[in-house]
Amino acid sequence: MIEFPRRWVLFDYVDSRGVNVIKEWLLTLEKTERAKLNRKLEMLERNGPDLATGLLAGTKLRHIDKIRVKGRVASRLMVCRGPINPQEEFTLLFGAKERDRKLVPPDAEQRAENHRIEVENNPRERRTLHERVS
Amino acid sequence: MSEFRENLKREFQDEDYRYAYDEEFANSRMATQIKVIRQQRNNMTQAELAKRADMMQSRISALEDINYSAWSISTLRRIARALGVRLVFKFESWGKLLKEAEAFSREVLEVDPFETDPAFAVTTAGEVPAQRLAKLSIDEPETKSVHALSTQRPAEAMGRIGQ
Repeated sequence: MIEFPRRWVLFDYVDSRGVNVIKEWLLTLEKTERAKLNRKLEMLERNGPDLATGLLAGTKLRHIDKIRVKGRVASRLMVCRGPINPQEEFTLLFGAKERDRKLVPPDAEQRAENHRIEVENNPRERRTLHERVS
Repeated sequence: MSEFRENLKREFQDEDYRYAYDEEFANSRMATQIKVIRQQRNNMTQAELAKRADMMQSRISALEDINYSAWSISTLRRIARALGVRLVFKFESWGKLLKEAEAFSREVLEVDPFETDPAFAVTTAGEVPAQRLAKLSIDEPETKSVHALSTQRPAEAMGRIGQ
């Protein structure tokens, strides 16, 4: 019998002004980058983090992973499990680029961690259900 | 129709978008399918698969990463043989992608090896079904006529039934 995988819920980080900065960042990407990223986010949502190797890459920070997107520019989306319910959800925290194997901005991982803590302290106001941008 | 499919149908109206999406889908499916089938083979390790395919273990690790994109047909043929499956490469319609993206899961990616492929399963009498069917069509006339009807064109079959 086929066992359908349980779904994961994706959230977008929202800043102190109430702006969905993940959506804003997605809108800055090229259309083809968004297509590739959307496919990866679908896999995360529908299949979880374990089926596909390389879907999430670790960073220097324990709670922060990144999703790689290939394109003319190498985009990197910082995410974390939870942080409220790590068995059921991921939160998209910060969008960055990578040039010559260095993140732009250089403190992208730390900024993602700061956002994670903000969400953890106030999940009702500092995140919203992920909004797909195509 | 699901919201998932509706989203894709809308997004695929853009040619650049759908080709980029498909590139990501194809790469991640191939990488994940290698891993899934390897694990389906009694949790074969990457090192064991590498030995069967005459490659380095690090190469298998790279091929199983969904960010890999430099596929070669000759490499995939070696992997296919090492896993006991066949490699298929063909052109497809976009509609098929909607279904494949929606159904993407470990179960869908698994493929039986030749030895346990139901099409080649050995019956209790030690015969494979195709041989059994051929034998029946020679030895048992009644069975043959039923089989023959089912393989005829409808008009021919109808004519025979009416006789």
